[in-house]
Amino acid sequence: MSVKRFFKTAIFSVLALAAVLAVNFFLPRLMPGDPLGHLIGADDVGAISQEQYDEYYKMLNLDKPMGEQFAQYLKEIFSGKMGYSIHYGRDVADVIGEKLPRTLQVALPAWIISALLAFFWGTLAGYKKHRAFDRISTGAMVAADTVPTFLMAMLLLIVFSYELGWFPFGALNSAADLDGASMFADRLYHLVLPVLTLVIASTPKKFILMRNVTAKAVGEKYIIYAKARGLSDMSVLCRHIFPNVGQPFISMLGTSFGKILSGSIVVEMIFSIDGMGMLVSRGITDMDFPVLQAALMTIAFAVIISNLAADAICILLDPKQRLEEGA
Amino acid sequence: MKKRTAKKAFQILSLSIGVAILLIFLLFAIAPKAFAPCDPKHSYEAFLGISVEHILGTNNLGYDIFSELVYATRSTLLAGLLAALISLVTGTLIGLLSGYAKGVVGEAMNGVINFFLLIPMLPLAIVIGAYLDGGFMDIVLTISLIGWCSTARAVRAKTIKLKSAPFIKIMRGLGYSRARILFCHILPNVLDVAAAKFITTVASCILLEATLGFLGVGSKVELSWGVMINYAYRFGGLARGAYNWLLAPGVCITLLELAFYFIGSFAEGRLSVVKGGRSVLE
Repeated sequence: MSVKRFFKTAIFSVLALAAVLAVNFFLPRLMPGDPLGHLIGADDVGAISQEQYDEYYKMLNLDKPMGEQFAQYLKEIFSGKMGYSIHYGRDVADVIGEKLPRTLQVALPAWIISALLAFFWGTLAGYKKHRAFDRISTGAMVAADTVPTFLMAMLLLIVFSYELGWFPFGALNSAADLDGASMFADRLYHLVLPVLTLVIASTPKKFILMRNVTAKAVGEKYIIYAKARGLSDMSVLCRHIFPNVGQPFISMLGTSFGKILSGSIVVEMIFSIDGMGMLVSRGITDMDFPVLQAALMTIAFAVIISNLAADAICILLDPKQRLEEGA
Repeated sequence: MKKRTAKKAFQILSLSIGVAILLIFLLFAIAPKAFAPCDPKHSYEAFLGISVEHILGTNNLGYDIFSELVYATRSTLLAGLLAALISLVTGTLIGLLSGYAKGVVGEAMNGVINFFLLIPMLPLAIVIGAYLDGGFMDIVLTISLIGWCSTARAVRAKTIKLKSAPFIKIMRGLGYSRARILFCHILPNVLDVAAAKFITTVASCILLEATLGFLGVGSKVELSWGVMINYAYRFGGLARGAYNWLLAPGVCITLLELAFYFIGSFAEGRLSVVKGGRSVLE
């Protein structure tokens, strides 16, 4: 059962990866307009000379049949190339390799913090359903969920940086040359607001899921029995509720990684962090299509793989499914 | 008993707040001229603060911000509603077919739905929107390409449930055609699910449109709230401290999202009364 389920997810993931590759290949070639313009990312193909046009045309194999182009494309992808960006003068994979770590510095802490927050806060609210604590926190979460990420980022920036002056206006480091511990502290100081924005943007959905799952579990017989045995709230929560709400939580973590990555596009733009988000927003203004496509591909790959990993972890954690495997 | 009436009062209050907000924006969209105090393309002094003549001040070109907001309501709402409508139709259709089809076809369609659910919407919309580079309809189509999948999933789940219901089994036994069962008997029964999804889809479509506008994807000619924030952000609203210019469109989007949330949760509550289930926040 569990093996079959995992197998199904694995096949789905492989197909999804293939679909992303195919979309990435066909999009510039089938969209209206000159495919050459789409592939090199020049806003106006007329701006380059005929010789240059011919040279690029040949370089990108556009003179060859579609099948051959696709084979060539796959070969390039598997050798770690994602297309050439004229704006950066090098392969996009290089550019992404440089920017992705900066994005991860914002996205990973936000992912972990929002996960922990949603897990504990959500289970607690679900456990105390309809009490004041639950009503207030659920109301706050719903309110936070309706605020668009860009508005939240601007509000935090205006209040805490422009008006109160507590935090820097953006970027990842102060201009000063710092080393070791002081640089690390400076980096943390710069990360507070962007991470906070992402946490506020991504916690509510997880919170509400955890709350509803827990509230459902509270009505189950084993919880009523545990309470009847006189166990404290703490031990009911830790011993009986947490293990049973873990599975939906972990599978949600897998998909939420992608949401955080795409949310960080907006956040990075506002906090001027030179990561993937900045790359994408600059790519939009420059019409740098190779960059946009590579960013989409990177994020899509990250999501598909994290989703698969979450599924695997779910199976490993659940003794019912794990033991069935051995039988 | 007392608790129940309090709950009901709260529900009705939130519904009426939601409807009121939506109604105001709808009026703005239908007759902007009647509500905008100034011509949105008339230049006054630039960067005026909040005052009686200019409720929200003026922007870098001296345009009255409140009037601009009122005029931009139409394209924002229209984009959201149109995209959600297209999503509703495609989502319902795909959900129905994938739920009813057996074997490989059903699994494959389910795979497609899951694929679109998994891929983060924003980057995909950015790439497609950047290629299309242009008109209002391009953006609407881009958004609806992504918006249909959650409707499809909900409709599919309901269709699978209905498929084993006795009345459908009987009809199959009586030799009704597949199309007739699907469109005359299953479709009317999934419409409630689709309608509830429609409200949340409108909200998410408006949000996506605003985010795309803010990032600079899509039409710059048609003024929408997202485009307004983009201009305010790019032309120094932050550095100049022109918060009225920067925040007003975002606040409007938040209000609209809140309105759809209130209406949506009420609709879901009604739905669950019929089904005997529970709404999201019960």
